[in-house]
Amino acid sequence: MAMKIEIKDATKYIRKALILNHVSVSLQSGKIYGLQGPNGSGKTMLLRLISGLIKPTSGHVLIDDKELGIDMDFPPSMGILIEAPAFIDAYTGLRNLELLADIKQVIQKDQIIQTLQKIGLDPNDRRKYYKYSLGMKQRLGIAAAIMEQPALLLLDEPTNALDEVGVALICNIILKEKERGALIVIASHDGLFLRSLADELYYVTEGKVEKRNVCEEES
Amino acid sequence: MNYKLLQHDFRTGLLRKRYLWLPLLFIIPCYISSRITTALGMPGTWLDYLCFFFFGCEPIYLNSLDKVILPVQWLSLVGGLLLVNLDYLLYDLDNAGQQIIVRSASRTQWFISKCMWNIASTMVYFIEMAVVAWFFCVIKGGESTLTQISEVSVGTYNVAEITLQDGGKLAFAAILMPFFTLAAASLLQMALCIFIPPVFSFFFVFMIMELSVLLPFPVLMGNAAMAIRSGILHPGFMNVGMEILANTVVMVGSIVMGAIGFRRKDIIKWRE
Repeated sequence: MAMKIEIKDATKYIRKALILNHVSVSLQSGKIYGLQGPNGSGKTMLLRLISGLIKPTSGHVLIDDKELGIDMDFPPSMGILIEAPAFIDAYTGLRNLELLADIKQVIQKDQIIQTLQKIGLDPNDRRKYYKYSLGMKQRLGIAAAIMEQPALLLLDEPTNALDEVGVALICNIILKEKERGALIVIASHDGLFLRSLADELYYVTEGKVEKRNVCEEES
Repeated sequence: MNYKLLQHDFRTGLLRKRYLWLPLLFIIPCYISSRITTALGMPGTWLDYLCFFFFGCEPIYLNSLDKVILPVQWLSLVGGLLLVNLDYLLYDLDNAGQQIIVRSASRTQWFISKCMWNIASTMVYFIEMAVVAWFFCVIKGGESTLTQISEVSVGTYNVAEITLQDGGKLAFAAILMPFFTLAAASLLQMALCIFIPPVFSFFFVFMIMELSVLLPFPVLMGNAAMAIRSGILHPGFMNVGMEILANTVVMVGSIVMGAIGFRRKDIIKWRE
């Protein structure tokens, strides 16, 4: 379960635009890392870099001392919610999660149902995904990320479209995931939300990542 | 091979609404075909109808350009298939596929699964074509056989070497070779989508097919998808062995090029 991620001097250009600028960060299990910054600062790209969805132009991403993109294509145990959640429109939430779980086959249907209940969705809801409200879609996206109890959890703006009750629920779930020992990275423009959860806070601006003291931020 | 990935691609990729529109594309060639059967005063067989789709056009020689008549039906069928298979790979990456790929743990397996889907999708295209042809054949009172041709095909192809016993030969030239060629062209288009925007990859492959109409060389893959140019039906025309080799090279090359390209590809929204 324990996982260590090291990003070493990673730089990323996309079509000549500098997206990540010499980023070096070290992350480990059992902690929540917050990425704060304005829109377009590079938070989502940093999550994509950690997830293996994009590759650094220079520098390295090491997962337990193995290089991402060379020794492995993706971190072995990972749940992601990057940007908007996306599922198959014609299926129910439960069916969508079943299909995803079927790829790795590490959990059973009852665990999927439990996850849905935990996230505040009705497993017996017969509505198709396209009929879901934005908040329900977001909850389903988080359910997909956490259902397999991954060692690494990457959440991009997890509170999008959620009401206050939903935000409180998600905070609670994220803290439980931390207790379980997951390494959690959350990107959000909402500083208050991040400060309430994160053990370490990073400020991302124009592709540069700076560590901030959570207590200093609070004061 | 990860069969779960294949299941996902077949489930999401083959159940798209665009397949429902395809029969409209096939109705026109079938209608023309039925007019021919009526004019000849005999019902064609199912194979007759099928062999009419990828008839193509006889080789065009540059010294007789004044007689050029482009095979509009053939170009429409080729373009139709390319459009059907155009954007699924990128569409899936923008949607549920992103969750699938991180769980699959392998970019190569994910891409190979897309290649399998691509060939399956081409197969669905041909199956729909066969179903529409069967309906027309039945309506016109023809025989539902895939082994026998009638005087209709002999008249349509107007090639001395074709006899009523040559159903298999004609099926190879007019169905199997177009299927093989279009599967290769569609794979090439999908592999190119990894490097360039889908609309450019479509036009690139479609231009090759158009060029094939004008230049009768076996290496230009479109020639193999025009039954009338097949060396099997007309020994003086295209060398079938060369055509199979050229298509195999395109097919394997596209899979290898795509798999290598996809290993390096950044998975972001393709419009970003």
